Amino acid sequence: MFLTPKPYLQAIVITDLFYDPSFRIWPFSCIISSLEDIVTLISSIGNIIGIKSSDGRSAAFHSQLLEVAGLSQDASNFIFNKINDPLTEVGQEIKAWSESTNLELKSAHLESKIRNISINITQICNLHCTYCAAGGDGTYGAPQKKIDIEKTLPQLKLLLDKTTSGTVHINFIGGEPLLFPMGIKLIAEYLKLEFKGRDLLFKFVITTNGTLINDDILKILTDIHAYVNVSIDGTPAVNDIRRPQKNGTGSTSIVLENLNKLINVKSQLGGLGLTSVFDRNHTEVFKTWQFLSEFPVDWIELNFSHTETSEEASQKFMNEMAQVAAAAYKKGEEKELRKIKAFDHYFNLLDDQQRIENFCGAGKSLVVLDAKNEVYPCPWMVGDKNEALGDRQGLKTVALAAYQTPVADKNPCSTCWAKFLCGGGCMFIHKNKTGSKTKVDSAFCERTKDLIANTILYYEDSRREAEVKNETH
Amino acid sequence: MKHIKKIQPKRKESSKPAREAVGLTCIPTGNPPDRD
Repeated sequence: MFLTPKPYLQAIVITDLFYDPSFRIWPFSCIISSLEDIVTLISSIGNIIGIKSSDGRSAAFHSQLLEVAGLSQDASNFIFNKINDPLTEVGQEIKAWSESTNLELKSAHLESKIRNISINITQICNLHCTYCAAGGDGTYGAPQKKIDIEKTLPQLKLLLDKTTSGTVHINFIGGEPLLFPMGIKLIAEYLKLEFKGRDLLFKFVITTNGTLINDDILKILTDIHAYVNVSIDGTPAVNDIRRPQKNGTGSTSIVLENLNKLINVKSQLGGLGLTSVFDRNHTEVFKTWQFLSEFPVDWIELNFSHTETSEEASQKFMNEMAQVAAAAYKKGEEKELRKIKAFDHYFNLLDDQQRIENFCGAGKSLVVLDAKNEVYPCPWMVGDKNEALGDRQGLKTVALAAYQTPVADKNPCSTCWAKFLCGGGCMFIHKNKTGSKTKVDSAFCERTKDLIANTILYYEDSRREAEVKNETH
Repeated sequence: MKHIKKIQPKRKESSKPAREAVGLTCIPTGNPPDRD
């Protein structure tokens, strides 16, 4: 039935491509395609997406309402086997769902106010990772030992001027942020004091190479209830090569020793997670997950490198992520699967029924302050003067205005079934591959849709199982 | 419905503000897993 099947996942789009008004029946036919082909059905994608895995699981997804459903055998046949007389009972049901509305659906349009600030608290690093995107050595080509705290505090006040309520994430990055732990402490203390009168909840996130943890740093991290991300790319054999110290020796033994220190105080932290990066030189996602999942941490991030353009590596990443999802789900169902951030993210969106119109909010709800107090839309653009949004003197109104239009509207996403779970994708990745922020990198789109389709299958499976259990008891 | 079994989403309490449009896995931003 499937002409060009893709390993593991296939998706079906119900479409009105072949509508003939003279039939006076529900206008759709069924196009069967592999996931790759969905991208080509730009003008004919309907609201209902069927997703089927090669191990027999299936689910349907309403691409506008973000609803997920299980299918009866008849409905599955209707969608997947092209037995689709629209006058039948099942045909009428699918039509009704496709055309339905959902008053609970939350708008994608959020106010333009800053809710995420990443701070390059240093632009130096004690490691020399082979794939470092910060200028190759953590400096972005402009080393800066410490951000100037006196200049930074009023800048933060200005950036948060319009943010009167809700959660604000302050992400300390670098270089290696724990080379300047006192800076983290001072900024955290200032924000909590300065904005005491507002209904704001600050969450302090530190992304660290994990080599510098000592008692003083542990005290700061626990005092501010930090969310700590430790970067590690897998087993010592892999990580030592990819993330060496400046003298060339491996960093893994130090990181693992320090990870244990963090695990010992985990209850006093906001959370603790591990982060890995994959590219053409490292595609062993499954082995990495097997290694990382043995540690008692709260989350694991498995990221495809933002600067990697190899489509072969991207395909391998997708296949390995599908294996990871299957193994995690088998190990501990939804709970274990959702330890992996990518899957947790889409579970959250499906549960909240919150449409996403900006992939990350860069320039709108997210800005970066570099160690020289210049403002950028995203961490990957630091050092690119053309992308600067301002400095300590103030913000550039025109430059900021360019980011207020939703990314998903600027990019060619209008007919993509995954639009409202993706939000238009990463502008940096698109530009890095195609030369334009609004010209999408097709490999990025495929990776994202693959992750979303996989998540929908597990979402349906886990929640249906839970409902059956509830009915039984 | 007989043929389509919709999954009931586990929504957060209605009084909570709309979720951030924070996308996924921007490594240095390290968005924590419990974002609103």
